[in-house]
Amino acid sequence: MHRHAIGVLWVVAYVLVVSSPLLFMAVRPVPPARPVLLEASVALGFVAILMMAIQFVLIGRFQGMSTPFGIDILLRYHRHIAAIALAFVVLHSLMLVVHDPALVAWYDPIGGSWASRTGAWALYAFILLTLLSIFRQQLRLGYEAWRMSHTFLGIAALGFALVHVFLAGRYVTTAWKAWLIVAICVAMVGAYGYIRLVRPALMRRAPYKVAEVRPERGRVWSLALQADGHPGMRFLPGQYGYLKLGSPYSLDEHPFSFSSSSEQRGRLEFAIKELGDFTNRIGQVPPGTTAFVDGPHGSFSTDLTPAPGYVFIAGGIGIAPFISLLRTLADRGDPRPVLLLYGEKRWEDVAFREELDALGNRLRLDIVYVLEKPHEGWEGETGFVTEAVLRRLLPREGFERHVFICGPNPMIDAVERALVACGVPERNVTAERFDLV
Amino acid sequence: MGRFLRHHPEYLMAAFVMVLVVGLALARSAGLAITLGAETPVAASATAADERTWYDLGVEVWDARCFSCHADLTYIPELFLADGGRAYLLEMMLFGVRGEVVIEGASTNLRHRAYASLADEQLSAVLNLMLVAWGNDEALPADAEFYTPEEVAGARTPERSNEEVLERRPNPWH
Repeated sequence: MHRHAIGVLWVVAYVLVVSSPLLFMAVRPVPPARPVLLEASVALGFVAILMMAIQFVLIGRFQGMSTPFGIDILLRYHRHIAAIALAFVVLHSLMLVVHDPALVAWYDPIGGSWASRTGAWALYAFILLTLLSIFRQQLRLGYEAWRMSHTFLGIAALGFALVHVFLAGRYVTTAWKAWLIVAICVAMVGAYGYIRLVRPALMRRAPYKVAEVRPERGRVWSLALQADGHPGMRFLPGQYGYLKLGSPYSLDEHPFSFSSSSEQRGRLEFAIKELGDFTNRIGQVPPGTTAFVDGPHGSFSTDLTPAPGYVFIAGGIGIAPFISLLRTLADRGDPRPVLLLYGEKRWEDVAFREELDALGNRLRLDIVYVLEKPHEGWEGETGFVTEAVLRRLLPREGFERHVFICGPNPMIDAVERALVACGVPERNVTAERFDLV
Repeated sequence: MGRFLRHHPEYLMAAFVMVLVVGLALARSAGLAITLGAETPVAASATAADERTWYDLGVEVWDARCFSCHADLTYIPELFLADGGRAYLLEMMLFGVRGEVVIEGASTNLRHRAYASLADEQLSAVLNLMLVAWGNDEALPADAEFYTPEEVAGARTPERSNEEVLERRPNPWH
């Protein structure tokens, strides 16, 4: 099925699951009718619980779900839906207070009944985990600590909310209603547990050994992994995997694009730029280190987007997936034309440029470098990949190439706008963002 | 706008769900709901045209006085049908109750305020409501005797203390 159709199906399924508890409220036996504000408050509470539950699978990296959207997009949904769900929960409690100001006492986390207490706890856990996510950097909370707190607060918020529903619940008095809501929540958290516990256990059976760590230009390292006792991984060029060094259960995992050709299975390569704690240490990883790869993920691939030709636009380390794409296309002897626009600060930092020259001999590949800080005597493009640059360089042909963009977010935004201005239809553009957390 | 929604289906979904929520809330506050299967005779009589009045009155009392503490009182039929339960429920509402009872082996502190200030019609209405709401009607025999305002008026004297009410309480859940 077409990827977009699958995407639409997921959206419809999402709406159905989220609104399923509204059925409890519509089907008898139901409590006596109450003022509209109360009923709306209860309905919002129910919807918010289901939204919270589904949050666990949105970040679960299920391929069927991530391929139509891309994990970066799913993470964006995760954040936006969290904001919506939090708004619903706050609205749920505020409407009760508007209905009867005396109910403001229910905000007291130790007073009141267990029904109100657990509701308050769920609300506060939800608010706390949101604040920790927004202000993680300012609070100097490490990624792993944040992720632990996020998981536990999330499970706590959902658990308290469920208990709250059963204690306060005037709608879950029938077995099928009670089972439905519990089953959905357990399934969602269970799916998350599967990702965190079962999948790593399976991953143990497919270990890799670091074969080589090779320096490239511009503080980029090529990390090569050799499959250890198994045939390796089948991936599509342009996809990426989560790299874990040491234990498969480690929360210290980092998404990197594969840079190797997908035509060779046993050996995986990543192109990694020194940009933070983990990546700065990549150069010191000794060969022979055990590694695990959760993947492949992502939909940034020519194999998923057939076209008569391509335009690749890379910014800095955004070149990584394109190296995989070009190596693969070369290995396959692909005859389709490719134009690569590659933006980097300085000429000496342009990673893989020697190899790109070599690939140019094996492919119908045109390469245009766009240097932000060109050296004396540089005669090529300078500055950024702007509308003017695109107008000059985009080929005029009787067919529509597909455009892939990978790079820093501001660059992607600018290039997307420039492409639209040049008349490139949106459906012909795929971008990959890597601002994961 | 169209482009924004295409890129952010989550807001479109949220808007759609909001519409469902508001629609449902309006329907529920009007007392509408879907019935799966046949209604029981008691429920039918409870919603018959001439009895809508006490039902509405019961809901009004429930929302004003009971809702902030009580969730679904699905155990009401069992208490009501126990020996002396029918009279106990009425006295408990009139005079309140206070003290220790054993429920399923555990000592529980029972405490309920008196609602003698409510009118006879209000008390009988809310008691009858509890007999039929939350599916309670299904646990009630067809010949169950509903409370009447006259009966409430008659039970106001002699006045009973919290302890007396507690002594007269049946306990189906030892």
